[in-house]
Amino acid sequence: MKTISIKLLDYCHYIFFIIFTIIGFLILKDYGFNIDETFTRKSGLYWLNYLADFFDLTNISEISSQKLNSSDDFTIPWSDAYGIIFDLPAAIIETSLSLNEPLKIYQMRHALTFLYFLIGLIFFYKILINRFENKYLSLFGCLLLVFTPRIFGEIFHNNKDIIFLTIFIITIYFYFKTIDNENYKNLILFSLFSSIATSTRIFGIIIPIVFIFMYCLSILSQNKDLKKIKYIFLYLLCYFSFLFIHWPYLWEDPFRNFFNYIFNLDIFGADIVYFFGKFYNSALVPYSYLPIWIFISTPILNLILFFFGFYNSTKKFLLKLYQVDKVKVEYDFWNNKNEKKDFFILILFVSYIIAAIFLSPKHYNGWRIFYFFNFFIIFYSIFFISSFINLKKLGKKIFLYISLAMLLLIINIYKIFIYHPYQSYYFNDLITKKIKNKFEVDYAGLSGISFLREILKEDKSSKIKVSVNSWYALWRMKELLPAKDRNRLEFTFDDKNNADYIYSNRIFDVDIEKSEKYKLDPSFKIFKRYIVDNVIIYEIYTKR
Amino acid sequence: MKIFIYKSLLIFLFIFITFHLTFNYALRSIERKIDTIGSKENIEIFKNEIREQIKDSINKDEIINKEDAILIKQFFEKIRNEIYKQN
Repeated sequence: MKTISIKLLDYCHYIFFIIFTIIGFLILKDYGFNIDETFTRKSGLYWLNYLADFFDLTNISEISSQKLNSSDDFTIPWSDAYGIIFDLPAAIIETSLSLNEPLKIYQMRHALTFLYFLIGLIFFYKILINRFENKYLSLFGCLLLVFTPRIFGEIFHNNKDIIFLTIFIITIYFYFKTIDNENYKNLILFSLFSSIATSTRIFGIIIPIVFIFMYCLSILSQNKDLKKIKYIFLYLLCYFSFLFIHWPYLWEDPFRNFFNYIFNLDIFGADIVYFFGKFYNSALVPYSYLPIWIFISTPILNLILFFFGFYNSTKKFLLKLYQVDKVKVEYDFWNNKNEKKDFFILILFVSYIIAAIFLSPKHYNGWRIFYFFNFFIIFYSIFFISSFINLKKLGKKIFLYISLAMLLLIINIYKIFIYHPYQSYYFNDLITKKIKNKFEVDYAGLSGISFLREILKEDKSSKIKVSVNSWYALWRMKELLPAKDRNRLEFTFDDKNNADYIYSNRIFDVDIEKSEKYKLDPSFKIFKRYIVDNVIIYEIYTKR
Repeated sequence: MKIFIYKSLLIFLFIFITFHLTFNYALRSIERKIDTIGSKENIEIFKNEIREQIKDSINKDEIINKEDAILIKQFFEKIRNEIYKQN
């Protein structure tokens, strides 16, 4: 019996990954459809068509062109500048499997998003093993990441931010490998993923900058490192080459298109955001915007561990600054490879925080574009636990700490359970019920399809007139319904007063306190409100 | 030398953050206010307010007092004369 338990412990990471994969595929269909998905699908089809034309693949070109023409209903400006690392493979699968039914197409994309995340999770485990050399701690790190409700809820449908999180994790992994073993293979892989990270989200560009900064610091400590400059040149050469090769957007006019991409970031996303009960121009949000979002929507366990871990790490490196020239060490900020990795993570995190708070041209709804910060939050959490275990002689108290951590982790799991399938809209218990509804909730529009299904199930009329009283493209959800249900639905967007039901996910493109745009006729009363953990996800109004 | 570089980097970071939390913070608050005043919702409110005022004025017996009426009349006549002179 004891041997079996030991064996199980030995293989616990495999067991975790297998169970997680099975659960993921079982619950995949429960999730709604992200409002951005039509956009990213079009981007994939656009590039597939472009490449098919480029390589003279007539058949694929015809199919993709046909699909491309039928996917155009955007309320935001179209851009071809999006990276292709997810969108193109998704378009290839859609075309090669001849998927034509919208529901099947989006379910395939959800499965693919989940697979990408799964790969990212495996690399995350490898990063933690690489740095902390403890299987159980690494597994705990993966549990913390997976049971972060906002991450759990996004891994099935967010094919931008979750993909960036994955690519970001893989890039960091190869940087760690480069530190361990400075060979061409690791350096080239690191540059490859750095370039993919850059094309996926502009924030990826900070990785090469910090990499070069780290090299400059190493030269300051050790002049002999000047000999390693060939690695930097090789890295930069590979980085720009890979950026150009894998991103067709740069093929025609690389420099102009690249600068266009960097300097036109503000065309994406909503113009206004609802934050703390007020509407703000998304380019002029208060500096507290991101810190508050992180504070209210990250599980308490993660927050506590992160603060201690970040404090410890920062303190450690600031103290090193005082010792420069006093204590003779090889490098000023690191004595070994692990310390170099920690220092890299610290510099990277500080750079991202500064860029996100002070330099970001625009903030999207919520903090979804910064979900990759969860990597840092978990990394510092594990950093703290690791240093705590190494420093203290815990004795019997270890069971107390483990029990406390497990209790808080169980609370996260419970929240995931009650929020299902809206974990993306999770708020922690540090804020009150009233405050929770002073923030944007269903900005991804996940509830639209649930609303339609619910109405079609409850109302047996042969014709149901539906309208929308929020900034939401509900018409995109219609094609995901079976034909017989589609025929029963009639959208009356231009004549709200004539609708049987009016749906609102409470996301607006104007300040509703001042604008008349979303003022409803008083004859409409609230028919139903979908509330999870005191958070209003959507509302239905009716005259009946 | 390297201590100087490290300290310079830290001081630069400190100045950068302080600049944003003081000057840029104030600037952003002003920008936000200007943006709010010029927003389409506010313009709509102003338009409605003007409409209401015009409606109220129409229902009044006199909109402007006698002195102002004479002044505006003289002003219009002056403009009319100047326009004729140009032609």
